[in-house]
Amino acid sequence: MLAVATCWLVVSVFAMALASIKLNAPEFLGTSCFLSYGRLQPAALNALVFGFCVPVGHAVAVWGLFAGTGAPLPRKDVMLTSWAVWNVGLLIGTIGILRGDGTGIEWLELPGYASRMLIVSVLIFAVWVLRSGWRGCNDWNDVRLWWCVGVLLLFPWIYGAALVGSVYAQVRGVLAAVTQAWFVQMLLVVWGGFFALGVLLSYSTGTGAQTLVSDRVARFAFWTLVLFGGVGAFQRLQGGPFPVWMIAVGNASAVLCLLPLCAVLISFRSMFGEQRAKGKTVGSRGIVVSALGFYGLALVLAAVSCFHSVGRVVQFTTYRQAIDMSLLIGFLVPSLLYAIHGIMQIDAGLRWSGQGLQRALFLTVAGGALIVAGLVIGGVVQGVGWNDPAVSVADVTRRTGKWLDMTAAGWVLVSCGIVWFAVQVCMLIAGGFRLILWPVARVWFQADIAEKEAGA
Amino acid sequence: MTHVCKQMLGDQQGANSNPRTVKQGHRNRLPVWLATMTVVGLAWAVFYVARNAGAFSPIVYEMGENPAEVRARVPRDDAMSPMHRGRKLYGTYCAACHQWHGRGIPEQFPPLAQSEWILAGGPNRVIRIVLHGMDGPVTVRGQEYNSPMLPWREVLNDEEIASVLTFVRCNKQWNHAAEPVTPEQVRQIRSLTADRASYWTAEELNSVPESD
Amino acid sequence: MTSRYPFLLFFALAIAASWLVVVVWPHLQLGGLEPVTIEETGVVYPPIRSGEALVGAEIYRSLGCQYCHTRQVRPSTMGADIARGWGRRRTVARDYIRDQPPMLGSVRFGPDLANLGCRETNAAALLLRLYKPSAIVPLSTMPSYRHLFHVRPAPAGGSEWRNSLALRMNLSSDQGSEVIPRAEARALVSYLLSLKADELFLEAYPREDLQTTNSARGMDKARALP
Ligand code: HEC
Ligand code: HEC
Repeated sequence: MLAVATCWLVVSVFAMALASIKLNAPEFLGTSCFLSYGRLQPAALNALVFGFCVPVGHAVAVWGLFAGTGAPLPRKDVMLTSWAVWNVGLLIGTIGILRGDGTGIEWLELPGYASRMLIVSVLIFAVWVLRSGWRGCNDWNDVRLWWCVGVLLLFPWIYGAALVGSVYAQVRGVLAAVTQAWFVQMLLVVWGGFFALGVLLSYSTGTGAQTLVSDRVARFAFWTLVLFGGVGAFQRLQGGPFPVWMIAVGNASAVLCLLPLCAVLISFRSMFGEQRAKGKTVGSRGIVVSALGFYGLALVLAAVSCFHSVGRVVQFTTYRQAIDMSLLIGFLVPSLLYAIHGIMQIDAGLRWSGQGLQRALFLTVAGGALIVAGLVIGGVVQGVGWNDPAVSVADVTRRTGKWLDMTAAGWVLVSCGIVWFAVQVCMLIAGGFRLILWPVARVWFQADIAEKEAGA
Repeated sequence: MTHVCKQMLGDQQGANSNPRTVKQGHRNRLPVWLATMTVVGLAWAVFYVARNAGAFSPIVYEMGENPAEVRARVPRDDAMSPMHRGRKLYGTYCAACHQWHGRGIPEQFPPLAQSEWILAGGPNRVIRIVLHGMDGPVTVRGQEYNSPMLPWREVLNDEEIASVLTFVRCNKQWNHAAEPVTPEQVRQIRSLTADRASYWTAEELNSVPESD
Repeated sequence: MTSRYPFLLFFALAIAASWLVVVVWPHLQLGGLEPVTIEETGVVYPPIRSGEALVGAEIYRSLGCQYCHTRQVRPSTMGADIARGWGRRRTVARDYIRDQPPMLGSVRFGPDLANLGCRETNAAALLLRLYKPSAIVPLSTMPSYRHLFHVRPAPAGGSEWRNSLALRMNLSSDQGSEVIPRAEARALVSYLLSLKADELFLEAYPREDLQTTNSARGMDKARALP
């Protein structure tokens, strides 16, 4: 498992490095067709999402499901197979995008041959989760398990449905865009939302999950988020060639999404309040606060863009990217990094150099802030420019460019942070090689014995 | 299970073992303001959607409209409009030679699309051509043509000639946007040239003013 | 607390609800859109693209032009798209029924291309734009797609390629060599020239006060006649 997690990390660093180049690409790297913006951007994005976020999310959830319950991993080989298929598929797919085989549907660019491998992998994985999860866990009162299963099953659901709905089926025209919007929204706001909120909750606070289940506020947040978050996908289609009811429904639910946001904030606040009351120091509170901040920022930005006067400016500008990146870089990635840190710490009994982790995360968060700020301001500037017919195209580009430079700087910071993180992980592994390997081997060994005993 | 949870929580577990520290009380109910906001928000959403969603119709693309308004925008009188009738007439009488696409047939039939005759300032000449036919050398869009075009004065009445000429002069597909032709204009020219029995030639027509 | 089955059931239902609303409903509603026949001219819209233009669409997709260019026009109530001359009406779902994928694009780093074929009819200008954007707009941020072209020394007797001449005229740095568009470049350009979304039909008529083009005015007059 640790090996798995670190592999993802390396992939992610790779993706981040690519991603940081991508915004400079229009200016500096125009010469090679493989590295032109139109290919680099989707390749980097896909590598980041499917190479890092999704697998780490799954790894953490699996860990929560099995390591958490103390049960050994059943049929490890199946899981590893699915993981291998996934990685190979992703690698092929990323190269495919760079070669120009992308599907042209944003966030689902992985070419057919690659996404088929991902689907196979995800299916194996889902079956594995269902079978072993059902058998392995008899204590279903723990909300944490639901949450893990939810996270694990949600992704195959949305990814499969989205691929069928946009890439495989010969859907006509704009319908592919509708499905795509749904997928991105589910992935970022709902899947990512649950996942990261769960991680933040469980790692940042001492309160157990049970209290959360019975908490009305949390339950309220959960259901409203599932409902409005998903339907809010329509809001992404603003201004496009879609009947107005879609836009109206989307706007309404994007605004309603602020309700679960409030609920989430309340939950966290009371939790922090408790901790403060106990006089306990929470080491990583900054991370939690900033991640929540990014999540809130994204939802608020989305809700604000529903208003006609704002929407007409920010549609089709980098504003939309700002929302997505806020969720992805500001919210999901730090939570995932944090989760990796948590797993490795507990599993291996290793100590991180606390300062190093803090710095790496700080760099990431600061970079994320720069990225989002650059995109938001750039988006508004761009939109104002486009909306004034007197401003020439070149002027619009020039004005926006300044802010995009800020975003590029943000990406560089983020990649520094990530590289730092990766270095630490490597050092951790190198330094404590025996320490890591030994417990894992012991777990396997014990599992083996246990199985034999069960068989006998 | 608590054991498991504690294990998961690693070094922070200790806090949870004492149930008193979890202040369920104040977190266990939905704050009133949140509940109020939910109700208000839902009400607003219903109102907003009802007002703006265009009755969930696939043809409404603008906020706050309804399908009837969209349909009302489509030109109503289609069946009787000159464009509509002209298109039919063109298909019946002219397309055989000048073709549907209006580009004619090289060497034989001159094009109507982008023809300087059609797009002239006024319809005086084209009405004459259609009424009494045309023969002799003519240059259209830089190409020379010389074959006869039959007269239509017996076949088509004033209104029909006006429609077909309106169609060719305003056909968007050929990027035409000239003034339409009225039956009145056709009637005038018909009575003016009532005694004519022969085809027009290009030279003759060139001496006719384009418009009056 | 409830047991696992109700929970998972509700969870699946909640996800399915958003899927039904966001994905299935539009599919039911828009999936059956048919091309329309434009009354006045008898043409079927949207037209079927030529084979070359379809190849061009693939190249457009594979080069990722849609990450910088949208292909969707907003109504004049929503922005200055129409004032900028990007189209004479907003785009509607029916404009895209022959596109797969639609490549709507989401960010406008460059101008909208939905009606490029209406405002730009010069293939050579488009080729030049692809070969060297900075020749048209200095400091252009649009990448150059040089790999779509052959560059070779100009033959002494003048070039046999008509297009390459136009290119050469504008490229002082490439004097003495000629630039010949490959098949891909020509296909891409024929796709770009085929980008038109300007026909008017049921849902596409803009609000009355927004009709501006003179042909529309001409038609109004024709309609006003008895
Ligand atoms: C028998 C074939 C034929 C038909 C049917 C016919 N035309 Fe023509 N038309 C011609 C030819 C041939 C000429 C060129 C005459 C000449 O060479 O002087 C011509 C010339 C013209 C011209 C002037 C040249 C130009 O290209 O602008 C107009 C206008 C015109 N036709 C309109 C019509 C209209 C309107 C109809 C239908 C009512 C019609 N024609 C039907 C054969 C035809
Ligand atoms: C990095 C972003 C970017 C990419 C990728 C890109 N363009 Fe552009 N494009 C621009 C910008 C910016 C302009 C505005 C003019 C300028 O600065 O050159 C533009 C202008 C254009 C124009 C002129 C539009 C007009 O209204 O005259 C065309 C045509 C065009 N691009 C086609 C393409 C095609 C085809 C591709 C894909 C092969 C492509 N672009 C890829 C940024 C991009």
